[in-house]
Amino acid sequence: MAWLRYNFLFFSAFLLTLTLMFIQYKDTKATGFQQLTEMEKIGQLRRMNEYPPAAYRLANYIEKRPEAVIYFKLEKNFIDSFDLLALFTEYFPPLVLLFFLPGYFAAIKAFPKQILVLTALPIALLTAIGHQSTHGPISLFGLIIGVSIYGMMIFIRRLSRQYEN
Amino acid sequence: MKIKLNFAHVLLLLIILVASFLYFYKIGEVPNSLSDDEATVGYNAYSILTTGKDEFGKAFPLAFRFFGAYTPPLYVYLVIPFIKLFGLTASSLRVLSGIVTLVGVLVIYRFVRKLALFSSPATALLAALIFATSPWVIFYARIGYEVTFGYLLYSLGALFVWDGLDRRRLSTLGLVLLSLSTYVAHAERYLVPLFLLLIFVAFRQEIFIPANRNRLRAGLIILLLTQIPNFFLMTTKAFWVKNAVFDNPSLTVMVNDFVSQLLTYLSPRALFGISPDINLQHTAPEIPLFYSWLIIPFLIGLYQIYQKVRTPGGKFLLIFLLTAPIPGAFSGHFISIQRVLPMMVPLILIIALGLDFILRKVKLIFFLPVFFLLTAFSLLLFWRSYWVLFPKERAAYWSYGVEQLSEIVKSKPETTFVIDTARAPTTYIGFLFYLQYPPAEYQKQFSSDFVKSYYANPPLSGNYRFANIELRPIEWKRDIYVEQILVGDELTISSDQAKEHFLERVFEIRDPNGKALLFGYQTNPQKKRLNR
Repeated sequence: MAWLRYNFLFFSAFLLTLTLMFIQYKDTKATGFQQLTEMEKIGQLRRMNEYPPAAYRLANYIEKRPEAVIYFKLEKNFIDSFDLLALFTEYFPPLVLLFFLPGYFAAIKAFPKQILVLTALPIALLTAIGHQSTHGPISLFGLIIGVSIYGMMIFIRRLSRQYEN
Repeated sequence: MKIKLNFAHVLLLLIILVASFLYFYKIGEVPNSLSDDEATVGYNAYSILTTGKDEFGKAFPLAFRFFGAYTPPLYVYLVIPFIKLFGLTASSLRVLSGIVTLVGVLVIYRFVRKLALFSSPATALLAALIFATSPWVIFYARIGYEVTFGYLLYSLGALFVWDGLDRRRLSTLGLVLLSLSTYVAHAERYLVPLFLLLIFVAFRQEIFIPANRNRLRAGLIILLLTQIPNFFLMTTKAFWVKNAVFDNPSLTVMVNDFVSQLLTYLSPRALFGISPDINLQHTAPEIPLFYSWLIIPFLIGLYQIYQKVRTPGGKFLLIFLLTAPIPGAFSGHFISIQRVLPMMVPLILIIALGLDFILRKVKLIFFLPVFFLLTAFSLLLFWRSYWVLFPKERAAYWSYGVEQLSEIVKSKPETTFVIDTARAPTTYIGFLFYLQYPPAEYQKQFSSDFVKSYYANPPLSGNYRFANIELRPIEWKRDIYVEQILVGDELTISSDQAKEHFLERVFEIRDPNGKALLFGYQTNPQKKRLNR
């Protein structure tokens, strides 16, 4: 955490991310990891019956065990954090992606630990609480805006360098 | 060095053996029915084999009309020897996809070894294993139509092109394979010109050199000669299909449609999470296109390609990846993952880049147990999805019931069956397939004018009559006064209608989960007339 103390920019980014994570936490209807809706319970029972009788024990492990239910829910929440379509059509215009990607890669090259922390924290939160929120994955917005601006700066710098040459 | 090489080959052979099991085990039974797309390939191949003409009576078409799709013809022609050898069965249609996917394992292995982007010698084998066991790969290795062969022929062509570029040569074999792939599936027809154009621009310094002059000439001549059938098709309606994005009313809608499709295809959520394809025939339940844990090497791989984008291999891989989803994004308003199958090989190469990076940081001895544990766990999830859930939950989307109904139709040759097609307009082909109805007889209903204007997409009534069956919507005013069996789903004939018209249920066909799919009702014209 030493880098935080000496770097005002990342300290601010860290604080902003924490604030957005707090808003995300308050805004999200958290996933109940072991709780299944009535529909999910019916589906679970139907699936148990779809296994061959010899694999009943395995069916129980994969479909019914609380560990399996938690695993599948966490996995879904984690993967749902990488929804490019929602992020860059619903919350940001697609054009931002053109700056976000090079900006993110350049930022991670320049400040690997900081960017990884700023990425991992909101994703960990979203994995834990899910995506049922009114404002979308707001905890990721700070990072997306920050690295997109960084990407835009790189683009402008390259353009101006080309112009000078 | 030689021992290491041989050991790698033994391991590669083991991967091929595992892949063979995954691709061919019970290939005729799972999927447990023929989709209409497979049946149309099978029946048209059978028709060509027995009469030299397709189902409509067109001799050796350059594109098969099928359901108006005008599918490139190569897969149908290549399936013919399998039908000749093994008969008109599901296995005969599917086995070719499995064989070419085995070649795909070698393509991946070779690509990793040749691309000069990878440092660990183990990466090529790991990439081959990931490809061989990926849900998306296995699913499409076991289907009997053209998409699998298309993307793998394209990838093989791309491999040869890269192999040539690496030695500052233009591979004429690569060009031939790429050109041939445009005769296999729609996506490659648009993809190959785009890919080649970008390769020629990006690698102009390697290609346009005096040493390549003869190869360039030969390549150009080969491309022109092999594309003559496509040039002819371009003058007809048959070529200009699968580009629905251009039907949009305005440029803004078109661009939005294209961008959102592109973002969906490239989104990690779609690749490692929920499949975005709404056609449930195209996927298996509860399994992503790639196992979810591979998202980690994929993201690392993306960063690696960003770092290596200025190297020739990086440039090539980026073009290979970014061009692959473009034809799919242009082709329709709905997401169809089988239209972006050419993404498969470049995506695996990106994942391999990520694994290669991890292998540079973690010793192989620590990495391998984790890798194999995750692979074994993934295969368990695949078994659950494909072998347990898929045959039961997706049977209806694979036209389940057509084979069973065909058996009933065969057992009552004197009875006429009227089969409702209101919600299944393409199932007629399944009946032709399972009844093995003589193609020469079926072709008689199409006039010579229809055959002459074959590539102009002449209209069809959508009603079919052959053997002892009629496929059309039920005409209640007429059909209940004729002695016959009416067949439909629960929406076609309600129990009230059956009661009202004195219809007697004579059979029902259920899916493997026990859900009723089709009902057969015997009409009772005498009783109906008496009670009119």
